[in-house]
Amino acid sequence: MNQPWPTTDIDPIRRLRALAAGISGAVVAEGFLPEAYEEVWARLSDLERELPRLVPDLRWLRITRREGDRLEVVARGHSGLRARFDAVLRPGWCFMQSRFLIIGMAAAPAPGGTALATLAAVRVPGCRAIAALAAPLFHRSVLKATARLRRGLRERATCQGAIAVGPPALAVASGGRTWSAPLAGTGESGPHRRRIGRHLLAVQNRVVNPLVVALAERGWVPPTYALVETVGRRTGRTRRVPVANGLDGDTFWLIAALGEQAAFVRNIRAEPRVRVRARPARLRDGLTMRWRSGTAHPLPDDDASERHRQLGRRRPGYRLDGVLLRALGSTNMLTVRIDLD
Amino acid sequence: MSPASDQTSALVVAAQSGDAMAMHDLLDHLAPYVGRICGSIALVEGPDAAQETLVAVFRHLGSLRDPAALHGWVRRIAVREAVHLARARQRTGPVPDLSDLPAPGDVEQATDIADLLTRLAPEHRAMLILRDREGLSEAEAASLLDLPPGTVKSRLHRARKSFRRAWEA
Repeated sequence: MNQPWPTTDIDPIRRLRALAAGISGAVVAEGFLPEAYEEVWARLSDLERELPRLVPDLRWLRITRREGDRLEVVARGHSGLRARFDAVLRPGWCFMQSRFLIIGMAAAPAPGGTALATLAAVRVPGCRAIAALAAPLFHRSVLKATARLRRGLRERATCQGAIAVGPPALAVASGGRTWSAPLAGTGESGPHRRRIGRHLLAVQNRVVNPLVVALAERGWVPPTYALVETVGRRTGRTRRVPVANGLDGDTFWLIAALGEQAAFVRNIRAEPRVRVRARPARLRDGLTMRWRSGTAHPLPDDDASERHRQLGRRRPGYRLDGVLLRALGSTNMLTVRIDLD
Repeated sequence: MSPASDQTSALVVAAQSGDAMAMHDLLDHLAPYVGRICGSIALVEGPDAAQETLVAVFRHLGSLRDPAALHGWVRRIAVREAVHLARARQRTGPVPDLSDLPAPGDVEQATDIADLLTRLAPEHRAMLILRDREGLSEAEAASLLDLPPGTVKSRLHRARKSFRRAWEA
């Protein structure tokens, strides 16, 4: 019986594709790197060192236990969220699962370089639809991480690289309250948060807002919401945030729930030129939705609550959003007037 | 490879409830089995057939009611995917060098199993594997492949005779 039947080894990339078929909402991104497999995997498999370099939201990652190819991994994000993963690490293969998140990466030698595949999925017990909704976000961040890996490999001297799952991933790991309606005027996380929970803010900033922005860019939001594009005060890159639509003719009224803390307000303080994309709330202002540039003027002396109520008077959707905003509670609201060109 | 052990059944149940690590371990468990079936039937198309099989297995894992029936179910999927893919690629693939191509049915010339298998049609390779490796009866194998048993019987008989010779050589 020694004569061998032909048999097939299933390479890591194909294995990852197979697993993805069983995980609802899983995103698989595949790519090719011109570097040798040994070099690529040497970087990728050094999880503690490489993952935080690749995943912007990941502050650190520790392997807390190791039994053969089985690992226990603890990761912590910049938003303060912590996750414990069960993981398997083998040549060309890494698969991790926490309560809320699944991450996989696979690499295999390919002619002229290395084939690479990454998998990301959220686990939302009992709700597959939500897991599927997060898919576009993962896709973007996985592609970004692959690009980062590619850059890292090119700069051989500096030890960079690895692969990843994106920023939204760890935010989701914070808990079940994932899908709140987008709120007018929250920015990126700031130092002092009292009544708005840190976790909820993290979820909003990293999951809900990017999703709403993605939808709004395709025109798939009710006229209640608009996009404001600011220039990042540190990076200089454009930042988009969904806000309640306060368009009134050639003026856009923006109420920042977090006041001066909101990242977009701090951006506006540094660079008042902004762009706004809003559907006219009232029919007489027309129906077209396009980017309009304007100049923002923060008005600290304005009574933001009164302004907010006033804006809600003719806009039922706006008022509904305002209810949510007040439920989260904020005392330092700020009015920003944007004069559109 | 049948029926599934308690441990495997537990993996199936966990995987069905969305535990990705259980899916991962189930994949580890199934990969060699699927690789053997697909490698023997689809030959060079083995990796693709194995991938398609496992994709189908994990996509439809929720529909498997009895975890103990895992291997029979996976076997059925693997055989069908492998035969399907081998036939599809045979039709569309590049024409191989005719001098190397064994004449169809020329099984007596086979020197070893791998060589023998290339001389058989995908369905016949599947028959051989199901009978000689999986221990299915001819009728079971034929029904799994949706083939009338009578038409493959004589062909398979010759194949197996030559196959035994190669095996024992």
